[in-house]
Amino acid sequence: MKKATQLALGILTSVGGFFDVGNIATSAQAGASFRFQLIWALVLATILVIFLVEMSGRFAAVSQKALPDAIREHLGFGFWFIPFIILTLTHLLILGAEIGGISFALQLVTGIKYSWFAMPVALLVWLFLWRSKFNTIENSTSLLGLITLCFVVAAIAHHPPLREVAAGALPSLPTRDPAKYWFIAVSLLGSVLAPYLFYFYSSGAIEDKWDETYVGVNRAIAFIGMSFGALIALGALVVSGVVLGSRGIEVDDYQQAALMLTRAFPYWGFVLFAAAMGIACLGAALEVSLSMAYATAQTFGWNWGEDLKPSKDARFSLVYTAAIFLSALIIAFGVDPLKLTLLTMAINAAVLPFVTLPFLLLMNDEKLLHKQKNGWFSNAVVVFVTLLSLVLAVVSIPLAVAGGS
Amino acid sequence: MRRLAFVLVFVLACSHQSDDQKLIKAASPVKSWAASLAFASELWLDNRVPKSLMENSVESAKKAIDATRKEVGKSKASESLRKNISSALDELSDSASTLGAAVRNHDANIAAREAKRCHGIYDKLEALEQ
Amino acid sequence: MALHQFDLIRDILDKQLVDKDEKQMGRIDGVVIELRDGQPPRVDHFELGFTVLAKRVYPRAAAWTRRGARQHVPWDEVHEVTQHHVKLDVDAEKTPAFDWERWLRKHIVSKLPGGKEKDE
Repeated sequence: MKKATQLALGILTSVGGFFDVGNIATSAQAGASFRFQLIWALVLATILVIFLVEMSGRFAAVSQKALPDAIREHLGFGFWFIPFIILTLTHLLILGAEIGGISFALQLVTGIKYSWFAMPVALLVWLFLWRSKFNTIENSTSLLGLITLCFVVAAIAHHPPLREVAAGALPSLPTRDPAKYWFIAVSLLGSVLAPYLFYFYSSGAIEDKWDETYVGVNRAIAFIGMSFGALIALGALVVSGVVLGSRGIEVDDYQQAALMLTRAFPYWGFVLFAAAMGIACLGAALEVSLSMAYATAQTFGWNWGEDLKPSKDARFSLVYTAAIFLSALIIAFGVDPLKLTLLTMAINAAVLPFVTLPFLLLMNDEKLLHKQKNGWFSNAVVVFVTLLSLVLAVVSIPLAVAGGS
Repeated sequence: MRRLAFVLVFVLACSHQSDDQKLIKAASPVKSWAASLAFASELWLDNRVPKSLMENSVESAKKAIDATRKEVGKSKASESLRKNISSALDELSDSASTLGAAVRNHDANIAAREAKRCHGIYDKLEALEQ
Repeated sequence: MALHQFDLIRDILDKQLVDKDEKQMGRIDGVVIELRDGQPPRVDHFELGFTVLAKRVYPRAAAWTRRGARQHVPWDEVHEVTQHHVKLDVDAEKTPAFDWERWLRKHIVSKLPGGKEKDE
């Protein structure tokens, strides 16, 4: 019974971890600019993320170690030092983008400019983490996160041409503006394969006290949770294609994305978009902050855990505190949240090799995983992601310059 | 090494566009804003989006217009294209201002008229791409 | 489950250190071995601290940090070595490993709402 509850909760949480500001931005852009043609990038990223999330959960359940913990211990500080710094900076940018997403959602509802909301939002995110336990955060944000299903409902309500949607699941070459096409494809991959997902998920497995008997539950959560998350992103992409793309509206600003739900729903469609965006970003902001604190505390061997009182793990708690307020500054200074999001998604794709290489080394360690180590197929997937990500690492930055603006 | 070559080829491929094509690409955010303003006005008339969204959209559209205007100034594209885009920019800028005022005064008639005009500007810019 | 044989670099260096109540108190940032005439070398002590880490990624960095920032863990403090941690027979709160933790707790965390140790 306990496992069934864990399964349900795990699925909800992973949906929350999957669907965030990056998915809203990239799905809206992909649909608006290329209708259904980029669905394949979302499908590819989802297949890859299922494998990687399954591995990070299996690793934690069997070895009883979260990823950053094991990377530092078994691959050494020398190996981890540079990736750790780079991933920490990436986390700060993602957190900034999520806080920007919440602030923008508040701008949509109130009409007051988003930059004014950055600090109050940071305070809200911080209070949530400071005062509550891991499970409270997991459960409340994941239940609220169900509101993002509105994108799927809207997509169905529009009766999209299914044949064209299905055709988009197969890769095809762009007929126009190739730089923009590939930039959005890379951002879509980056938005799904976000580094924080793996550190948060494996540390969460330790917080929830998983052991080897959870390997099956983990597999189900990874598969169902990620597919469910991808379905929501797909919904957003389709709605954007139908509502914005057909009118020639491209998404250069979140205000344009905010018009997405106004045709499927009556007058409250607009508010629904703001609510879905705000809640999805809030859930992700909590996960990103925790992920960063987990990674830092585990790297240095500090005591950590969201169930401890801040006075019992002062360093852990102050890492997320500092991260939240530092990232909020980016938005408070008026940086455009959509531009920040898209830049961050390209960076996510560029830093992927740092995320996947340790997977390849650790997932084959018989001493840690015994019989649960990777089979040839999983290894092939990780090798593929690593190679793909090396290519992405090189092309994503020039693409950001050529196709981003 | 091969990757580097790939990137170089890629970047060159991207940058190898005629001046006309470059200018048309630089004007695409404005085209998109023309469509957005038209759509948003219709939604506002139908009570589906708040006044603040209209005001903020008008402001963002104007920023995009200014950015494109700078590109037109720098561009070496053909004179007729520059003239066409400039006139579309002026017209959209005027329409956006009128729309902003109409929203402030809750004037549905003017807003409806400007929505149509934005549509027209979008069509004009779209035709330039063909 | 206590192990009896391990690789010094793979399994001991960078391993999690815990105190007698299994409270995490840092990692083994350095291992110092002693060479003896005619006898096999033996592990003398562990080191921890940012200085030790800095020296590992950039040897000259050690000169910039103050010397006291390095903590020695003599072998007789080691209680057990498992696959997951090296357990010491000490109270983490009273060791230099918790200097920062104590300072931050006293000067920052306790001044924030809900940061006092007594708070429920």
